[in-house]
Amino acid sequence: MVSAQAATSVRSFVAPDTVVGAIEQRHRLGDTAIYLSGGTDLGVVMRRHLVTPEHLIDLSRIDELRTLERVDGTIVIGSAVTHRTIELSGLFVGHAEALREACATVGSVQTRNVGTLGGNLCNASPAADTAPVLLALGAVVEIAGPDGRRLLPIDDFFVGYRRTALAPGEILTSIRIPVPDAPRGSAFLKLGRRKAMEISIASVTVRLDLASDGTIAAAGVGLGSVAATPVRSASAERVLTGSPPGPATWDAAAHAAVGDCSPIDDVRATQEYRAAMVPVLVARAAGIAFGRARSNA
Amino acid sequence: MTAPAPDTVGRSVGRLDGGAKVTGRYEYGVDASRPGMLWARLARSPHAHARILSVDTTAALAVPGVRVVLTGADTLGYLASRYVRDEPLLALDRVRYPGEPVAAVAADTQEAAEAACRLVRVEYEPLPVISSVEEALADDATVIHPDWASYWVSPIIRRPGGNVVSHASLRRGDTAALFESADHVFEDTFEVPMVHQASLEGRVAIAEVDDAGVVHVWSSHQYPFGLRQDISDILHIPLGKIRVTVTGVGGGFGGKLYAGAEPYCIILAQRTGRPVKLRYTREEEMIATSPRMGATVRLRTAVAADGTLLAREGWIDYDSGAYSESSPGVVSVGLLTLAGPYRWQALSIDTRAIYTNKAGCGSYRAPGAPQAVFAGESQLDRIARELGIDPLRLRLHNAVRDGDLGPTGQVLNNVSLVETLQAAADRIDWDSAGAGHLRGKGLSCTWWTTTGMPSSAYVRMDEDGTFVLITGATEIGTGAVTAGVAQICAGELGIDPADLKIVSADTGTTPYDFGAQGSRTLVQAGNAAIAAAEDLKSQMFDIAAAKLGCQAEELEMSDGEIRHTNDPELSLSVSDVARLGGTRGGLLGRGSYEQPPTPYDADSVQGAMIGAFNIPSFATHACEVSVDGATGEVTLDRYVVAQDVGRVVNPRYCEGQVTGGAVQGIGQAMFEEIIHRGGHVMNPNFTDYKLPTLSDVPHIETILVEVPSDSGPYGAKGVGEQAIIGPPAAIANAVRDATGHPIQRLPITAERVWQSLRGPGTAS
Ligand SMILES: Cc1cc2nc3c(=O)[nH]c(=O)nc-3n(C[C@H](O)[C@H](O)[C@H](O)COP(=O)(O)OP(=O)(O)OC[C@H]3O[C@@H](n4cnc5c(N)ncnc54)[C@H](O)[C@@H]3O)c2cc1C
Repeated sequence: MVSAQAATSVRSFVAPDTVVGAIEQRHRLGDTAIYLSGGTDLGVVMRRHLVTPEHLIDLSRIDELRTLERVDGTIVIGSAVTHRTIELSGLFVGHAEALREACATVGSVQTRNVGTLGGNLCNASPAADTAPVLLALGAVVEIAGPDGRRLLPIDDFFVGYRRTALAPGEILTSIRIPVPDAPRGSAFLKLGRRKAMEISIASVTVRLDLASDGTIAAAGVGLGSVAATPVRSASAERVLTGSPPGPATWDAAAHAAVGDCSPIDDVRATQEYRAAMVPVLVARAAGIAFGRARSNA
Repeated sequence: MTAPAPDTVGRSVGRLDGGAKVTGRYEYGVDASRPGMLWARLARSPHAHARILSVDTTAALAVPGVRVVLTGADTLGYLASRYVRDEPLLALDRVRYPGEPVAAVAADTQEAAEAACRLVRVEYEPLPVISSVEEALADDATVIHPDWASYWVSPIIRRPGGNVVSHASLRRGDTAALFESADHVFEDTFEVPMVHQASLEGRVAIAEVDDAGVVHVWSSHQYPFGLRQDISDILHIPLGKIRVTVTGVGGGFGGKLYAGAEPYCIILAQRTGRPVKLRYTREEEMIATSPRMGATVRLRTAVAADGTLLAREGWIDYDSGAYSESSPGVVSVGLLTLAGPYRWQALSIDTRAIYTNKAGCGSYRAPGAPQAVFAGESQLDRIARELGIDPLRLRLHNAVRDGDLGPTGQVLNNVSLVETLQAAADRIDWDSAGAGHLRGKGLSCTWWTTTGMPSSAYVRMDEDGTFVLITGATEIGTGAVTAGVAQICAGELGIDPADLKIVSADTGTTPYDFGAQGSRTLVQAGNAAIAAAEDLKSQMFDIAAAKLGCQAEELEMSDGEIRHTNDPELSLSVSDVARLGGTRGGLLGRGSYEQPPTPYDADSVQGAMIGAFNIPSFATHACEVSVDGATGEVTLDRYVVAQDVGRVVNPRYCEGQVTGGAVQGIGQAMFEEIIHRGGHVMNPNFTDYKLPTLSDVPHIETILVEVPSDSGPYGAKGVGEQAIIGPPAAIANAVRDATGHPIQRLPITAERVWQSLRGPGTAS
């Protein structure tokens, strides 16, 4: 006899207060357990029965995951820090404006009050707003698992469409953004069908570090919603690095970036439009990032 | 009824249901429940078009908690759709759209009902899918309703055959001759997609059958008396054995005018002997309930060199989806709105509704109009541009004025188009120098009806002198009943609206009303309430006159007192009257109102269920946009609506209606679109069906113009629907002004504007 499917598959809910405790629970409960942060992605897919976990391991009571601080030359963001906390924090001014901007566009205030940075990355949507920002900023993520902790450049974190480098049972614990001594500016631009509550058609982040001679010492370019994963545009970065700042450089970088994306058609936009918007957004974001870098000098 | 208005009218009185709504105590349909209630759910077709070979409910019935599973075989002869009875309650031999109900389940829990639906096994044989109007009209097109000739059809409707649901036409004057001799002829085609009402509360109902076999339905509905008739027609239950009680309504916008969830609840309640509740999910709402029809509009317009409009030929093919629902009425609205509020020497318009393999379409705030007006008003701007005439001047030159004839020959009175044009143009600074590169302004003009049909009311005076308004009208959130009609009724009784009690929208206790549709409630239910209050007052005056020893005609009532007009000392309080002999059980005033139909030239139209606009009213929309030349993004910088409301009864709610309508219209102009692939809805959720957010719309600057009508309360005209019509054309015209490129397809997305900027060849 077939039993009625309950409104939810969930049978138990645990809220450990340490990372080690969470990993132990995950080990004990097995593969039908899943980590829960703000639940703004998980709740949606569970409601549609696309994910049917039996046990929820809530990470939101773990203090370590909720800290946001600058430790020497690094901004360390606990994975359970909410978008709203980042949006309202002063820590990013002069170092990572783009992240603050990206977090400030996620959903609505209600979404940002509960949705977390770690959840955004682990959900690994190609449209996750913060992912290309962290790519452009050269972030490093810390991962904890049954065998201890490891550090991974974020470039290696997104391994495929909605897939991450997390092994079963691993927790993303923090996101670390290096803060250079050189003047830095970054900007995030998101194109969508509406101005809030929006999944991007394309998003672009440009980060520029200035050398003492005024040229661009280093650059990061991240692209969202234009490939199966959030991507970094190495070609655009190469064009920018070592070049004199200015519209000609922005345009060259913009054109280079197109080669690094492979957009698709969907209900939000055509492939053609996405491909055409990437250079527009790259050039604009570069201009804004440069302006910020100069004023951060 | 243009008697002097009482002092309750013209004030922003707070609505009587406001407190409960803002504190969360208001009971909507989703909140309602009955003891012992079961939950229903519908198993739906995954195919757009298929023959049903077999249905097996064994596995579904085996789910614990499942009480009954009904299929098409259990509902033979139960056909819905009010004007062409073409929609089986449960599909029998074929399904015609993805999401069509094939089985109905009642179970102890929602989860059991849902699980059972997944286990209803249906064997389908796919049929060719008609996914567009164009495909439906092809010579060799598969006929979606092979049994079409056997359906009951309401009179007037013209059905040529094939996949055409109905065809309406308008012929006046000699168009051929005028096209022959005109200086200019303009021809354009426009495309408008289906859009959804997207009420926050979807369809939801409960049905219970009592021991006497009386079916009691609680529903979030706009038109309880229509629903009662629908139920009677579909399920063959005598009207007298049906009672419909409207719950709180969390949005309707035309989507809750017909039977929806109710018949399923009833047949399941009849089988199980238990109350049954059915609530559609958001996805069900988006894939299987009656949205606004998409349309292809083709227009030819003959114009004199000085900009005088001479003649118009127009064709609208509305995509009705798989069932007729309200499309036979909508096609006739297309005739009137495609002509627009302008003077014509000749018109020749054909509008059709066409079957396709999508969910059947229904009514949505100003049904049929936005599609037509987007086309007509956009083309007007093209004409202005190409003739070198300012779009405002072109409209003023051709605008209808008092005494002119409407498109079907109705005599237009109390016409206010020029007033609204001037008010909107002034506010937007129309004549100020062009706003600059990639900035533009746009105008559009609309006209719309105030639907007639009967409304009735009682006003009761209770034993202590309390007044109760008993009206069949339905409050669907506009404030028309709980503010407007209440203000009118209280004003006539000389009391504070806050002291009036209201009982409404229950076929078991309230008198007939034609429902919350067609912008009619405040006007028609208001007139009925005035009549009922008058009747009650005359009964009270007779009693008071006998007591005071004067004539009833010499009395007046205000502030809870009945006084002699010339001798205020001679008075009685209302509560005294309530205690007098002959009134000790209270008193009951009765009022009914039905406006005589508006005369028009009946020979000018064929197949039109609506031949004229009753108490027409007029509006002008004006907006200012800026366009991002690289991305195509359009920002609405300013939005102005000047709308004639005849007489403002409640300024706050009147502005609320105009603002809300404009915002929904902006949604249709720039954001909303039900995206289909092979009949399937690709965006059945609020992630991908883009409703505008607060950040996307500017403050709507409303100007309420007052050109009183002859028959609305104190001159009021209908307000609710009109403001949704104007935005697509106003915005398209502003974008064209900004970029020089026309946009002939909705919604006006950044991508479409970007496409248009890339050159005339790719403009769409
Ligand atoms: C209305 C709405 C609007 C939205 N708008 C946007 C938007 O504009 N832009 C955008 O990018 N996103 C948007 N989202 C998606 C979502 O809000 C974000 O992705 C959010 O950051 C997810 O975080 P969360 O804490 O809610 O994750 P959860 O839903 O709790 O988790 C998401 C996934 O990550 C896993 N996970 C979470 N934390 C960890 C961890 N520390 N270690 C390992 N695995 C973990 C979970 O198991 C789950 O699989 C929106 C969502 C909603 C509901």
